[in-house]
Amino acid sequence: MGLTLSSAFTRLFGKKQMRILMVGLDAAGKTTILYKLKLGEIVTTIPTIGFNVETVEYKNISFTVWDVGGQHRIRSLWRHYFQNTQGLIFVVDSSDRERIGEAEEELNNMLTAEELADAVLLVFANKQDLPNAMNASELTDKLGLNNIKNRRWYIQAACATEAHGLYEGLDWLSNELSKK
Amino acid sequence: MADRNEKLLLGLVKKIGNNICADCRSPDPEWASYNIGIFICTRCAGIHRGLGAHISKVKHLKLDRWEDSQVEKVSSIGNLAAAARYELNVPASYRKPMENDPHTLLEQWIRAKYEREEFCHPEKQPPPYMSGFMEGFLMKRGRTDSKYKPRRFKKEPKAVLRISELSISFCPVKMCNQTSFQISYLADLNPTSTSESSKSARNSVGSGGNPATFHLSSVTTRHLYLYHEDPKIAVDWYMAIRCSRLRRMQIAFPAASEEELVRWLPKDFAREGWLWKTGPRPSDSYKKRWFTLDNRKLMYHEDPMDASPKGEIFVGEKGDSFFVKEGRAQGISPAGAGPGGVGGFPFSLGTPQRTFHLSSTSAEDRDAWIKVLQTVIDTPLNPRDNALAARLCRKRASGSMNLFNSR
Repeated sequence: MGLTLSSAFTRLFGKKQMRILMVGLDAAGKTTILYKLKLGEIVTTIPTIGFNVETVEYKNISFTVWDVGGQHRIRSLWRHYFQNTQGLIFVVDSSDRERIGEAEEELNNMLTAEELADAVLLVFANKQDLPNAMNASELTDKLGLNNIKNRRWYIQAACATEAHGLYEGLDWLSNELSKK
Repeated sequence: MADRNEKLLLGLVKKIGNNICADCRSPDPEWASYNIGIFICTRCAGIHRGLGAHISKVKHLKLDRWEDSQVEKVSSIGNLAAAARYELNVPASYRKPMENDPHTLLEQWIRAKYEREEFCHPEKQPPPYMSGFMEGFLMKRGRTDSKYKPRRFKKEPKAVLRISELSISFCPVKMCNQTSFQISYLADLNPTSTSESSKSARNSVGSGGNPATFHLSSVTTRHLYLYHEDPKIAVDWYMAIRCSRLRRMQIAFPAASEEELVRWLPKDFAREGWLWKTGPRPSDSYKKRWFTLDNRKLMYHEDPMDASPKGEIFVGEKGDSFFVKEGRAQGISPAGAGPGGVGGFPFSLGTPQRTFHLSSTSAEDRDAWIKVLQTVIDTPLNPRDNALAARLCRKRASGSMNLFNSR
């Protein structure tokens, strides 16, 4: 009885939880995105060696966002954060054409992991304000997103410093969560 | 192959020039910008990444994978060659930020070097802060209320500040604003007059026998709290004031070398913080005051953001019987006895006129105060200090004349 009541209570008033892993090449803007969402302001960041984790409340969902450093040698550590991840955010520096192939490689490597089989994928095409930035459709092509099978994915153009696109991305994630 | 590149990089970073950060000179950089060809620290690496990969491409020396061509690039340039290019034409008055300096200064220095390339094209027109004339709006905090209002700063004024007598300090923490700075100057009744004429004006008022007027005309420090939303403009103002200040000093002290004069340019406050202070009589109780050490001038305030200090102490040199020491003089009531948890770590600052009994809330804080004050006392006076001493001592004289004037 007590149990039923409390679960009904949670359904009515409680917050849904969603565990998010945010990865991408170094200097893509992951930490800036995390703290823009958390604090609403641009913080001064230094390169993340290790991880940051914050909860972000949005539309009655509590997103627990893990932001993991993207330097080449520490990318092998990403897999330690895979378990129980419901949503994967992959951040790309849209202006860095030189390394888009490297980003594609890392993304597709990661998606083969079994622990991530059920995770939805949101790609932030970040740094849209910089000169010569690739747009979402160009990045869809370069990242090979259309070849992804058996996974819900979405690409969102973004500029973290102006907060453009960030909440649109969370909207998509929350919709996906409510479908489950 | 990767290991070979890592070995090469770790060898390169030990070379003279590469062994300190190209931008803030902190030791042992762990990062490099491989398109600019420099070695930098973690903090500066964060700023470089913020410029975008079209300006600077940053990698960690050990945690990233390096292509041969990238290693060759940093090997062929390095910090010394990059400085020769990007810092070719840095004005003498420009403050090159160091390791622990405020973020805004460091970020604008890096942007000026690599994004705007302000210092590597001597053929181009110099930046506005070098022209000796700048105008525009800054947000200024009210003298009595704490609201910031836009005020136009230029040469046609509501008030005129004499460049030669103001000091300017970056204090982002106290003002809770990254793009803020504080200007402190000695305010006169008649601020537009030159030093000589204001002195004679004061003398004539003084001989008129009206102590209240006399008191008004005496000099006292006024603090202005300013900021601008745009960090570049805030830093431009700061550099413009330093530049004009250096030019004024070059006129006043033509014999001194530029290098020496740059050392006399205003520095950030050596130290600020709360201390407890007694009155002049041994029986006086301790009061909590915000102390600010600006070069040789120690000021105390009721509130950190006060427009003027309650008192100013000139800190001279050892030979003139100035001293600072730990502990409490005999006859001074123990600080712990005061109301409201007075700090129990006393020290005293001696001047020829009076010994100030002060107390701090921790041993570390007290030791830090003693250290900065001792450094000042150990430093010989320069001609500019003498001018300050004369002005502050004159104020003290006027204070004693107004003994019965309620302050």
